[in-house]
Amino acid sequence: MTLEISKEQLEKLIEAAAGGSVEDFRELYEIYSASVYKFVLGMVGIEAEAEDITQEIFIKVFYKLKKLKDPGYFRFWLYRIARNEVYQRHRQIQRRSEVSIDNEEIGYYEFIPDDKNELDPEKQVISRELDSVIQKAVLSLKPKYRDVFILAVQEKMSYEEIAKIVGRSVVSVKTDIYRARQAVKEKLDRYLY
Amino acid sequence: MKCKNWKIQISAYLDGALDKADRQAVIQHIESCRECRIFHEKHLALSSLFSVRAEGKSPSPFIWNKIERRITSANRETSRPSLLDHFRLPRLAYGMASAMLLISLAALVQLRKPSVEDRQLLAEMDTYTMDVQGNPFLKKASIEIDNPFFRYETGSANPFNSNLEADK
Repeated sequence: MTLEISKEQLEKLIEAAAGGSVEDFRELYEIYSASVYKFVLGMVGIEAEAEDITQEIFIKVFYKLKKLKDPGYFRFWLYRIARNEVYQRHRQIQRRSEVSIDNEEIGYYEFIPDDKNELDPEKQVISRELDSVIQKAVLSLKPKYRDVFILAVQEKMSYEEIAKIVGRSVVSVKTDIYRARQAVKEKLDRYLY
Repeated sequence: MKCKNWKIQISAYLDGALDKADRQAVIQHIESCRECRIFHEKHLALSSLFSVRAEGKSPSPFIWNKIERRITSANRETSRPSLLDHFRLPRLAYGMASAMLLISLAALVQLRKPSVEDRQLLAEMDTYTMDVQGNPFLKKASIEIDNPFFRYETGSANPFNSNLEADK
């Protein structure tokens, strides 16, 4: 969850970080890293990969921050970078899998993520299974549906915000989210009551 | 409105993307339409499932350490002047040019300076010249030095003498 911060404080932080202050950039990281990570994890499905991409995203943000003209757009701009980084990585993986020896049509991100070992064994098995099924359902979506779905359902962003991030109209975002919802629901139907 | 369009509205309703009037319309429709009510219930469960699932996920605390390390090392790289940068600074460039000039001059002097053997040979030649000119102070020295021309000074094998003889 994104930490609460006033607009003025955020602008100050962004300006200071854009000026090269690592300390202020760390504060920005603390505010946004969890939500960015969750978004990336939702998109790629592998924790280690999501952490690696999150790291790349924030390094890019640090160096590109000087180019951000309006600090009010920071959040959209950040998610836009995150989304681009995910797509870029996805393309790299696709290229790599094209030349791999076993050219199976298994999606790279259709990988069962590692689980936290905090629950008792029985619940762990159920949780792991459900988590895996949810992840597979999300990963089965086309990327254009996947990103809007995660931003809306998981990140609770408004359709206007999502439209700014993905660069599509609000109407298009609205129907894409509906389609994504339907597709995910069909995959998880037996788990919903 | 058809149920398909209502479902799009219900989806937006679940995401809190509708204004008050649209929200009221959706609520009224859900109460009257069984199909849309089931759709709403299922998707409400789906949304809560995703929310709960997302809450348990958090990035490793070590990510920041990696980011910080990369930023600071990159900053150090850019702040460290390269060898070429020294030449770009005018004052240092003049200093370096002067030093290079001095080194070149010293090397030249060193090259032009005669070696011990050269100095000895020069001394011999001087002695010979002086001796030929009849310098009494160097006469003694000229005997001590193994000058090849001295060997032929009085001998018959002196090529100059033989030439002279032939001329005669």
